[in-house]
Formats: sequence, structure tokens, C-alpha cells
Amino acid sequence: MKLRFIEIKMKKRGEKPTFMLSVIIRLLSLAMGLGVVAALFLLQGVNPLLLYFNIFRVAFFTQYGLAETLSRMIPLLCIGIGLSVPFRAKIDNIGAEGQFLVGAIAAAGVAFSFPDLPAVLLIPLMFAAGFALGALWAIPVAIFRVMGKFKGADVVLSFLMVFPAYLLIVYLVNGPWKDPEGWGFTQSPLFPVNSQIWQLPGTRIHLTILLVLALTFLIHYYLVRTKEGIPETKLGYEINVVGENPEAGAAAGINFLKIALITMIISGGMAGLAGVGEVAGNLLRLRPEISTGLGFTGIVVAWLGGLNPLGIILSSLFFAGLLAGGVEIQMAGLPVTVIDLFNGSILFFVLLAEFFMRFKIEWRILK
Amino acid sequence: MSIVLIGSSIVTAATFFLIPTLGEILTERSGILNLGVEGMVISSAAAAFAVTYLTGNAMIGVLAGMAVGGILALIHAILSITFNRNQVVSGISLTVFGTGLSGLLGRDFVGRTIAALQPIPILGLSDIPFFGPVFFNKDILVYASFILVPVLWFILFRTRIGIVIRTVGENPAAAYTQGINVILVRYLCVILGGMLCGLGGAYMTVAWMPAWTEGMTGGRGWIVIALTVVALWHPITAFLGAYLFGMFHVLQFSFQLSGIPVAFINMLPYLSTIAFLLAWGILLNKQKVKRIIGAPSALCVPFEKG
Amino acid sequence: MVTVLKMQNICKSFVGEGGGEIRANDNITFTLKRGEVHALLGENGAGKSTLVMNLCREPDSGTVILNGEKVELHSPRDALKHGIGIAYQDLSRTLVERHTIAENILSLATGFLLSPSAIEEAIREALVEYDLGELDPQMSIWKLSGGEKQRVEILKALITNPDILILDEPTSMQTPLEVERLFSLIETLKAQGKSVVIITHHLGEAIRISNRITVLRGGKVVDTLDEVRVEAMKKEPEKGARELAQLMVGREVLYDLERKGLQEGPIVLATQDLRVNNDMGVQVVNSVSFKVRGNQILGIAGVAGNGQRELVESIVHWREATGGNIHLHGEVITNKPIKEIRDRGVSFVPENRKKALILNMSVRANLMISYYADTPGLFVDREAMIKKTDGLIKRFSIETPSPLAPVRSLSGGNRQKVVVARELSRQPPKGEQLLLIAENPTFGLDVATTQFVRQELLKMRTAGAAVLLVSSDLTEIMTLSDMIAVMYKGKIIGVLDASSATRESVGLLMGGVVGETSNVGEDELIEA
Repeated sequence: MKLRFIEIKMKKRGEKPTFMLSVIIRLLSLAMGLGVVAALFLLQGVNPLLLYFNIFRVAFFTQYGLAETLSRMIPLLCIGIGLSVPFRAKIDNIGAEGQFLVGAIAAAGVAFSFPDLPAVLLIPLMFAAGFALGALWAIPVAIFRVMGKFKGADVVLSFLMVFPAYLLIVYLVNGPWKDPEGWGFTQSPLFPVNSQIWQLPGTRIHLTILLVLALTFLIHYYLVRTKEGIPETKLGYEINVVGENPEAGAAAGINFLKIALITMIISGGMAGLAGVGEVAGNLLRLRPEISTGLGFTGIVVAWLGGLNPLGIILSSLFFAGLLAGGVEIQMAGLPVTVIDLFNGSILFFVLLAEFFMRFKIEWRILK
Repeated sequence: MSIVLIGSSIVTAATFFLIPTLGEILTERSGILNLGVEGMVISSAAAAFAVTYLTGNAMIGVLAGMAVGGILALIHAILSITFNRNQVVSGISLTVFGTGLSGLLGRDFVGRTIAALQPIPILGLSDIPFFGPVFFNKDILVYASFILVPVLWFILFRTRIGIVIRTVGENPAAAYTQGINVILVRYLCVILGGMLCGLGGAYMTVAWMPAWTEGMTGGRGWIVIALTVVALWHPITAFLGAYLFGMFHVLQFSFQLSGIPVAFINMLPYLSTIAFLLAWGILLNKQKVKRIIGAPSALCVPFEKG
Repeated sequence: MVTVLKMQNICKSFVGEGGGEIRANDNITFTLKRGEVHALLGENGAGKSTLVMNLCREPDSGTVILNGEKVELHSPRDALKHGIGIAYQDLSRTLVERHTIAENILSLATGFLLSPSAIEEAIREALVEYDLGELDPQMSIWKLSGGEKQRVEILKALITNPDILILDEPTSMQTPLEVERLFSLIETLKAQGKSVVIITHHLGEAIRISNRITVLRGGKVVDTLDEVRVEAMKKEPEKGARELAQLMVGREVLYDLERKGLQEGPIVLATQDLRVNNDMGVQVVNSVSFKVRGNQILGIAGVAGNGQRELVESIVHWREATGGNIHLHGEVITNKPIKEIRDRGVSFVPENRKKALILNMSVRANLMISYYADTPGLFVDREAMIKKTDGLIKRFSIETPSPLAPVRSLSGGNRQKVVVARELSRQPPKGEQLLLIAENPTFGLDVATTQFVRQELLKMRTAGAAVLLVSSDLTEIMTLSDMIAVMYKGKIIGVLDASSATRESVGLLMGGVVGETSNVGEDELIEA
């Protein structure tokens, strides 16, 4: 590109950017995303700096806020880590919201069916059911991704699958699982005591956090981490190959459908687990509005974290803080949906940052 | 419900599907997939409502809606055309961003009311039994959608601009080597497509249900994207598809007394969309079909010169 | 005669996707006179297409002078404005398969409205005017043969009525009749005072049609032969062709590779009436039957685009065979899963390197792809893989800073070495021979790497492997093969024993001329 005084050239980088550079580029994209939202806030007459400061202070430096942040982090981390697996294989799953919801349904179903089972049996059974149903909800997306030739059809499908899940909850809490003492609230009765996941007293941080951290570690260790350039498992290697060049993967005999199915089962299953944790550990009831967009925030969490488990832990902490500090957003007179404004804006810049990881900009002044 | 009333509401619902679908067809015909329809529609719905409320003039509101749609589409254009980023992720970001933006734009207007666009009966036509009140006693935006269908068809298939757009969407290098500015064509198509989505959003709050509630589009933007596939990227079939989907939408209300739980009936539009997508997915996979119809060949493929 | 176009000191380099610069044009000066046909001659990768492309994008340095005026041409649009018409070589980037011929010629769509009938009429008129033969303007591109597509591309360039016409490999897929037509057309244009640049690697054609010839090698001008010398060549075309060939290849003529006489092994691969479609669903392999034995190299010669790619891709099931059978070691493997076919001892060095290499991944990860699944279980045997890949890098002397460097950062030659190293070192199941399929394995490589790859292929042959070599480079076919099969329009139209085949006999078959030259009939091959 040549302007009057200056010539700008974009050049492909030969090597991958160093770790430090990629962290800096990501932090910069985060800052710019926040900057755009700040500008919009200014237009609405809200002081963004004060608001950001308050969110930050509440979310990380008050006892209640910190507990709330950690509690919010559980589903976000679980969904984000799960999503990172198909994302690494270039399979788009934006239906985590639906997979989360059916996970919650499964938890409620098991809890209400076997209320008398001891907790040590009942709770694992709920998690298993949540994983299974979440995975089931994700499988059509994988098949469509591989079989459907129209690009984006799988994305649309995975999104459309959210609504039947949501409406299924609406039906259940109005019908079979209606709370008899609900005074008109559309919700299920309280979960049986045996099915409630133990919480840290005085907080809403439930034991699911250990499960999620363990799964994060497993995915990091077996699928992501490389030593001498070689991942631990064949699956991890195949995911990398398919993600970088699906044609080469297919040419070498890697079955794309198999990879799509496995990664989507992991992703859908983990969103399902998050759903189980959220209703059995946090809310203790099934309601239609249990999620409020966690599945979508999870997408941003995964991308901002660079699809890397360590990065995702940090980015889920960031977004959990944003959710926990959301009280401040409402106090400033803004609607809750502005959280999406952060999500979208940050995702834009993360996407842009990816460009600068592959290209560098050279410029010189023309005489 | 009387049959005229049902017919009339089908037209109303269908118009909301039709206008953004035409926009998405235009966008995809140039080779760019914009999954941000939901975001553009809901933001422009909020903007159109807010501006109508403030100015008292619905047409200014409609223009504001189109402007918001166009500006949001511009973001997608910059990311996907200039910076060659993943169009799927960019579109998802746009949806999320637009949802957030709608909250911000509409925050002072929840629960307010405006005067909706008034129906304008068309002399002579509105007296035809059934068809008159159903099709020809509507507001100006419905008529606009009637006109947009043949206009878009005409532009795409009977003008030089149309053949250029289709060539860009099928094989941008072929257009470029014949002296076409591929980048410009794609920018224009994406922005115009966004403005049509904006028009659809504006229609929702200014004409259809003149009120603003958060999340009022309820994922219909995604049905628009599915509809583009179902319509095989053609304006005429888009018209038929939009009315079919409008019918699913309205029928859910007439089933409400049938004893089937409401939630299941509400699933109807989404389930039928999924069913259509699956059927079309199988159909478009056939090689013999693929070489005649199907997604524009360069859809989602970034273009690099040289 | 007046000089209409002068390209002065043109330099153009490409960043070989990662640091390594390829100087495709190195200080080239080229002139074109009014009313002349100027041939640009050179091997693959000599920089011919790159040179003319500088007329529709900016070169790194150098000037373009058009009719005595210095011009800057940034895009094809500028080129068109200045009366330069280009018929491009890569038709997949210039024609829209789903559209009709009429819809493909955008320059005919003038004004706001589109009148299909007027455009079709204009095309019919142009076809008659230029004598380009029959073409139905309403026909979709995907239904056309390669030669017909090339005619559409030429028509597209002609219809803008350019003063300078550039034809990039216009005859590669045309039938002899079509070529004759094109040449008489070029004569007519010349008589009208237009100038034509024709890019080709066909020596005979270059001598026949042109007034002057510029030979390129390695991005540099080797020589420009003036009218007198070309005129002399026209009198003795064979001698001229030899002279040109020497200029093209240069002094560094490949030394002969050692080929021992070997006892033929058992039949490894046999196909029977194999039929395959191309990407647009048109059958381009029509009932092909052949067999390859151990210790044997079967060379498939032919002009690119006659179905060779589809043929080999169907053997490894990169694409579906629509009819017929493929036998490996006597067992049917037609359309079996890719992994199963590979595990039975089939290696493939494809021409399409995008499918062979993952540029963003390390050399090690790229080498591993054929070996990581050798051990059972869910885990990768890390120690074995490190040993294996380090060994391959050493044995095939792949120049890389580290096994962990991305393949993107390697030069073209070393990238191909990665593929060759990986595919040639695979072990067939016990007691059986490896089938190695090599599709244009030395395309675009430097001399040293070319030599290296060819030697490795011969080593495989000695080791007992059956080698199926597809190449559009006749020299490669002649030096390596034991048997030569020639493919033309989706059929094997002749099979020759390498010991008795000559360049001429193979060359004639490649042009579709079937004479008594084939001393081994097709029957011999089919009979199992």
C-alpha cells in the first residue's frame, strides 16, 4: 500500500512469534477491546475508567466478590477448555450453550429420579449423564461439519440446537418438574440433598472446581503439551494436524469424522459437565435462565486464552471477574447485556491479533 | 383466529425473515459469509426504535436502523476482507457484539411505546377478498420487501453488476484478472447486505411489534442464515422460503389450544429449520447437483492477489 | 519495426513462505516489436510467467515502457486499459466453472443492463472472425474439454481487442487441429500489426510460430535469438530444437544415472478398466488398465491434464474411482479407506504439496505423519519418533536449523526432501514390496535436488519396490523408466519398452498420434 508520504507493507512472518510476543499481542488486543467498549460507555455518559476500576475492585479485592468470581469461573473454564479442543482442530462449535443446558437437564433428571441414592453414587451418576447428554447434543454438529458441504452450516446448526434445549427446560419446569411451591415461578423444586454438590461454606464455590481443574490438566497433559515437538497421544497429534491442514491430514489417512466426533464429544460433554455443576452446585434448581450466555462467553474465553489451557485459565478468570463485577455495571445504569459488548469487542481484537501473529508490518517514509 | 388474520400475520412474520435473507444472499453471492445477522438485526432494531422514539418519525428510525446494520457489517468486512480473518469467528463476534450493543442502544427505551408504521391500503388491490387485506393492506416496509425480491433478482442476474458480483463469489481471481476490483465489490455487498439486515431489524420494532425488549429477536437471525441456504442463494426462492418459515412461526400460535405443551410448539420454527438444513446438506452433497447449484464456490475463501 | 513494449531491468522475488527469497526474475530486459510473435521459452520455474505477470502488478524494480512512455501497471485493469490482453495459464483461476461461456467474458457485459442474447451473438461473431472453431456460448465451462477451455480463455483476451496479446502456455491441452487453428490466428493478428508474446516450453511450436525467441533460465535471460537466427532454425527445426534445448537446460546437463538391469519382480499393482472423474464430475480417466511389478519403474508420460493426476489419486483413494478395479498384491483395494491402503505398503509423493506438507508444523511433525501410528495404543512412542525423524533428516540431508523448525521456513527443495524422505522410508508389510507413486516429484526443484530425488527413486527400484512415476517431464520419464505408458485424453494410448523408446516416439504419442511406434500393445499389459 502506498500513501503519499509513507509506504506500508505487510509481510508474512517466517517463524512463529515468540511466546512473549504472542502474550503481548494478546494483552494488547484485550486492552483495545476494552478501549472500544469504554468509548461506547463514554457516549452513554458513563465513566468507563471508574466503572472498570469498580468491576476490578469488586471482582478481585472483596471477599464476597472474589468468591463469586471463582464460582463463576467454574462453568466458564469448563466450557472454555472443552471448546478449545474442537477449535484446535478447526471445528466450530458455538452451541456450547445448548450442550450446557442439556447437561443441566440430565443432572435434574438423575437427581429427581434417584433422590435416595447416596451422594457418592448419585453425584458421579449426574456428571456421567450430563456428559453423555451434552455430547449427544454435539454429535450432529460434528457429522454436519464433515458431511455438509456448505461452509458455516455446522455453525448454524450448532446454534439452532440451543433453542430446543432451552425450550425443553421451559417445558420441564412448567410440566413434569414444576415446583409445587413455586408461586408461579417457572422453576423446578430444590434438588434433593444427596444430589447437592458440597460448597465451600459461606461461598458458592463448589467442589466441581476440582473436577474442572483436573480435566484442564488432563487435556493440557495429553492433548496440548508437546515435548521435543511431539504430543503425548496420537489424538493430540492428529488434532494438531487436522487443525493446521485438514487436507494433508486426510491425505495421510487421518479420519476427519473420527477427530470431529471425538473433539465434539469432549467439548459437548464438558459443556454438559458445566451444566451439571451449575445446577447441582450453585443454583440447586433447574430454571430456563440458568445460563445467561455462559456458552457464548466460553467461546471468547477459549479464543482469548489462545486455545491453550493455561491461557484459558487466565481468560476464564478475567471473564468470571467481569460477570461477578457485573453488579457494578448494573449500578452504573447499564443493562446486563453489555457483557456481550465486552465479549464481542474483545473477540474482534483477538481475531485481529491473530493477523499480527502471522504478519508483520513494515513501513518507510517516502521522500 | 380468522383465516385473514392468520394470513396477515404470516405476511408480517415472513417480511421480517425475507429482508435480512435478501441481504445475506447479496453478501454470500460475493463470497463472504456473514454469520453476524443476529447481531446486526437486533442492534438495528434497538437503534430504529430509539431514533423513532426520539424523533417521532418512523422513517428516520428505519434509516438509523439501516445505518447501524451497515456499520456493523463494515466491521465484518474489514476483518474478513482486508485482514483475511476467519469469517466464521468474525461473524460470531459480530453477533455477540451486536447483542451487547442492542442493550446499550435500547437501555433508556424499555417499556416505551411509539406509533407503529401505519398500513397503507393499496387502492384497488386491497379490496380483493382475502388477498387484499393479507397482502395489500400493509405498511410501506412490507411493500418494500415485495419490490426488493425482483429488484435483487434483476440486479444479480440481469445486470453487469450482478454478473460481476457472482463472478467475485465464484472465482475472485477470474474477476480480478478481468479488471474487477474484488475488494470493492465485496465491501459493497457486505455493507449493503448489512443495511438490509438493518432494515429487517427496523421493521421488527417500528412496524411489527412496536416496543423494545432485550433479546427480542430470539435467534431469528440464525434462521435467516439457514434460510439463505434453503433458498439456494436465490431471491425468488428466498421469498418462498421466508413465507414458509413465516408460516411455521405463526402456526405455533394456532396450535396453542391443541393441548400440546407450548414449549414444544415453540420449537417448531427451529426444528423445521434444522430439518431443512439436514435435507439440503444431503442434497447439495451430490456431485451432479453441486456443479449447477450450491454455495458460491469462493464462499469463505479469502482472496489474495497474484 | 517499432518497439511497442520494453521491460527494462525487471526484478521480482517471492518470499518463499518463510524468509528464503526466490528470485523469479533477476534483472530481465525484454522487448517486443510491433507485428512480431515473440516466444518466451524456458523450463518450469524459469520465470516466464512471472515476467509477463509484471504487466499487471508492480515488479520489485525495473521499468515498463509502452509505446515509448514509461507506465506503471498495478493491476490487470491497468493492463487492459493499455491494450494488453492476457490469456492466463492457470484456468482454475480465470474461468468460473459454473457459469456459461457468455457469463465468463465480463468485458462483453457493458452498460448497466445485461443482454444475454447480445453477448452470445458477439461471441458467435468473434468465433467466426478469429476462426476459433465451434463453441456454444450457452455451455457451462465445466462441460468443456481442456482445449475448449483454453480457447475460451484466448477468446476472452482477444475480445478486448488488445494491441499486445500474451498467451501463457496456450496449447498445453489443445488437440493438434486446435493448435493449427490457433497458429493461423496468430499469423492473422501479426498481419494486422498486433504483437504476440507466446509462452511455451514446446520447442517445435516456438520455432514454427515466432519471429524472435527469448530463452530464460533460473530467472535470467540466457539469450534472445533475433529474426535471422530463428529464420535459420525454421529451415532445420530439429537442429534448432536441440540448440534451444541446450540453452534452456544450460551446460549443467544432468549426468547419466546408473540403472542396473534387474529381474522383474512380482506384480504389485494392477488396475482394470479404471474410471475416475475430475473435480467437476467429468470422467477424465477412461478405462485404464496397467500393471506395475516389483523392481520396475513404470513411467506414465503425457501432457499435464490428460487424467494422470486423477489416475494416481484414485489409487490412493484421494478421489473416488467410479468404475473398474485396483489390485494391490492381487487384492482389491478400490476405494478402501486411505489408511488401509497406505498400511498395505503404498507410498505417495504427490505433486500437490499443499496436501503433502503442513507448513506451520515442524519438520519432525511432518515426518512423523507416516509413522506415528505404527505402535498400537493411544500414545505416541516419543523416543522412537525422535530417533526415526532425526535419522531421516540425516539420511536425506534435509537442511533445517532444527527438527522443530516449521517446514514453512525451509527452501522448496528441502520441503520436497521432507516428503520424499517420509514416503520412501516406509516399510511394506512383511514379504511384500512397497508401491511408490511419484507424481512430478522433481517439479520446480533445483538441479541438485532433482538429481537427488531421481537417484532415490532408482534406489527404491533396486530395493525391490514397484514405482509408478507420473511426469510431464519427458527427460525424467526417459532416464528413469523401465516401461513407458503414454496417457492421452484419459486413456493409455501406447506402452513402450524404455530400451527401444525414443523421445520422438513418446513425444508423438503424447500428442495423440498413434503410429506403429508402440512396440508393446496394451493387450500385453492387461493380461495378468
